[in-house]
Amino acid sequence: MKRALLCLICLFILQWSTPFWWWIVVVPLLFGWCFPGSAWTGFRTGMLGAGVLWLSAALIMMVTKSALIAGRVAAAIGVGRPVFVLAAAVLTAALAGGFSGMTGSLARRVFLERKATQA
Amino acid sequence: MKIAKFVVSLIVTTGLFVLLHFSHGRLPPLGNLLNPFTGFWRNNRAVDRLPESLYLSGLEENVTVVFDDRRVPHIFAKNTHDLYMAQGFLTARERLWQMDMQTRYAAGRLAEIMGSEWVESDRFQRRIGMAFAAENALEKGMRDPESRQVLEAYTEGVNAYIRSLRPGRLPLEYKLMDFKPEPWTPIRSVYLLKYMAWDLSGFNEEIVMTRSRRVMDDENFRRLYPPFPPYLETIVPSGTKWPFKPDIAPGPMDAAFPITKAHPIGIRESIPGSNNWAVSGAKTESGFPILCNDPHLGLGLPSVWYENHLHAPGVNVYGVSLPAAPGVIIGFNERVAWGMTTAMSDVLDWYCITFKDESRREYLYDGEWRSTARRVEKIRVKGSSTIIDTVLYTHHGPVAYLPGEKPYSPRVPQNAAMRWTGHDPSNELQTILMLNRAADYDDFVEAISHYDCPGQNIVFADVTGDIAIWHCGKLPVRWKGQGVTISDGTDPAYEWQGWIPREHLPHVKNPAQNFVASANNHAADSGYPYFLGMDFASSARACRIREVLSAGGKFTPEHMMALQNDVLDVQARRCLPLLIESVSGIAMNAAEKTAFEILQAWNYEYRAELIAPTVYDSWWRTLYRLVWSDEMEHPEGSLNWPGVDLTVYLILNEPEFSCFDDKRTEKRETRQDVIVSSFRSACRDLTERWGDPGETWAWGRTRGTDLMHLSRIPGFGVEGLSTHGGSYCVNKTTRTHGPSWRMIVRLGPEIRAWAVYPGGQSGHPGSEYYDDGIEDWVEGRVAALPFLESPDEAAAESFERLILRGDR
Repeated sequence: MKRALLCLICLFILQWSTPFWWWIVVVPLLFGWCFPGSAWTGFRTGMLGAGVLWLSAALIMMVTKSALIAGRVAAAIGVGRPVFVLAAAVLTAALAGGFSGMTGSLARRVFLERKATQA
Repeated sequence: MKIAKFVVSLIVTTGLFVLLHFSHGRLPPLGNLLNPFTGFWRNNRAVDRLPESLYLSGLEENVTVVFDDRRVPHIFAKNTHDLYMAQGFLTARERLWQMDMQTRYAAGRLAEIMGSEWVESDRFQRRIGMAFAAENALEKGMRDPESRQVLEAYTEGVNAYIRSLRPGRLPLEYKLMDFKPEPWTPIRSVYLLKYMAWDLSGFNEEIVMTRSRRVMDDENFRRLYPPFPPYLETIVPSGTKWPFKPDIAPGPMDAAFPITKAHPIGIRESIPGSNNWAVSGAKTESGFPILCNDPHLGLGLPSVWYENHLHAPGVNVYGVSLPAAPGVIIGFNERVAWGMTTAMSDVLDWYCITFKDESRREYLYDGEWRSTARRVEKIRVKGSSTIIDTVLYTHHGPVAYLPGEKPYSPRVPQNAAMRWTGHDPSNELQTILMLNRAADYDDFVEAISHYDCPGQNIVFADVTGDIAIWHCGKLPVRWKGQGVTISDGTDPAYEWQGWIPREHLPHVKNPAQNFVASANNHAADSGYPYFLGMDFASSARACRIREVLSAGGKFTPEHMMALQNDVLDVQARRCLPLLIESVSGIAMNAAEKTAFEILQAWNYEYRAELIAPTVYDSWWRTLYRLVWSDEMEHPEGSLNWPGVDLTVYLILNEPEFSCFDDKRTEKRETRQDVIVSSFRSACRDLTERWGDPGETWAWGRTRGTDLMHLSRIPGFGVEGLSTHGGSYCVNKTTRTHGPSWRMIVRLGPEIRAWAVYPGGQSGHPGSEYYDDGIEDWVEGRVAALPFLESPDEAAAESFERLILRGDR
């Protein structure tokens, strides 16, 4: 869980200071690569780091100033109610973060740890 | 096993990345869009938050902007440059995406951001020479020092805003459509003016009129298409003597040319419904003139207009602007007020071209072969290769579509060159800037003498009590009937014979009737020596306005607001009594009986809550179709459906006229037959569609009004508004069109003004000011406009303010 929290903090800093959404792919990937652990650990770190970050950020926006625009965007992308847009954002982050984290962990096991074993 | 897991995970991750990072068909790049840090979440109410001050590089001195409670900026600048730079900046701040889209549309540049489905739209804009028109206008505009200064300052302002945009603050539609604004240039402003010029003068009926001319005998043709139809109402009072007699060469009378029947055109669409009038002080309670204007346009969101108040040394003007173009188009200053309706005079003719051979390098004119010019247009297409399109130009203008090519618009003939005043070098901005600073009638006349296209009826009133109206623009001199059908491009006899001298244009100042008015109707009667075309609107609205303004008593602004919202249908008032009488004795089913009783009690008002307008409208449309469809749906293609005023006249006065007989049946139908069968048919249609007569038949529900988003993004527009008004009412509101701005100005020592428009000042769908004016507009309410003298006056105390800081 600490790792997920660290991932969330890194993501928050990067997302706050740059306009790129894809940090939620890159950061969990690097976490998986850098920290040893199972594929599931990698997935969980990315899923929680990215998912919780986007959930909290979007929820804050929604309850403060963005309810109107969330409703309009829900209609625009055809998902109906604003809460579904929120769900779509969280799902996007959780899946992208989770799978990239898992890929990082698996890459580490395939490339780094196999090399170590061979050595 | 590990490797297999890794590969699967990698594929899923990559797939997710591709799915989220790129747009897919209509689906925007979801990663960017849903990102809570820079995605759509950021286009929220925060767009309405104003900083106390902003530094604007290029601004010479500080500019104070006061935003009133409807978010209208009152811009107080210390010089002309800063005034228009601030206008550009503030307009872009609210409407950048709209400015970008509308001007891209006019320039034929939508495919480059929206893909191949927009290629034909882009090709059309290129083929009708929009870029050619804009380049010519820009060149002339830039030669006038004041226009140049204003265009450049406005451009600087727009660019200052574009430069200030951070990714999170990019207007939402850019995020949804996945493109970014490019630097603004003066030609973009000109494109907007050309977009309006085409919208308001690019219509004509030449294809269908040519067919009508060809298949009808002379007598029928003249009878069905009278240049001055029954119930004529003219802007310049009928019977006015004109102190000039122009020498106009007569034209050949066999003006009918072969055209294809590929493009059927149905019943003529309802044309614009703008109104303007001014009442002199002799007829008002205050003793000073009142001027009113409600220009009608296609409705949508973001709104067509941006309301603003521009104040700098030498100018203090309030009114509406078109986002992308500097100045105030319709409005008032401390001394004068003015308003516009489309003139409807014909300024677009098509010339049939005879090319020498398939290479089309030469065309025949006056017995000689002349060279065609070629203009190469490059249409960039998102996700595909650039299309090179060569457009042929004759001395008349561009040949929009060649034989075998399918015109994008059914009103554009093939193999014909286009002669349009919109292509000529012009500088309408000069008129706008001069109107903004005008102090009296002479200034007004001088200002409009520079105005070319689209032709407008410009109404005027000032504090000294003068009222006037001018049918103005650059209007060609033609023989009577010229340009109604497609012209022979080889024959010099079909050339325009110069321009109507400005002083000869129909106009009237301080008439005895103490009011002037226009409603897209005829400018003058048959005594006027120049031929202005046959595209004028029905006289119904003009008739109602005259009726109300001719009445005794003293008018107040409230009376004028009521007239702008007037929903009495003069045409129904003329026609319905006979229709009711004709069906009164027939056997009726329950629905027909109810509909009949509702109509009997009707006061001819198109109010949203009434059922009668639904019944009458349906009955009238069915009757009109029944009267004309057999004649007009000709085997050679659609002919030009005769005008509504003529149809009403024939129904009322010529019961034996042959058009009542449906030639497709053996029986000979009478007027009575078509009235009865259209009534039955209309009731049947209504019952099938809306059930038994009742609330579901209410006019506001059956007709309704939609304010669709400019790019038709679902959820960004407002649909199904229950609005009052009908096609022949002063309040001519339809499903898609209506009063885009209602303004009432009471002149006098203290100018007072009221206005409303359907939408709001902001173009941001997340803003509170995106659609906040719609409810008032639907209900016919107007807001009092604060015409501030300075940013520090008491009336401005509660308003928000923003200081734009300059270099000094």
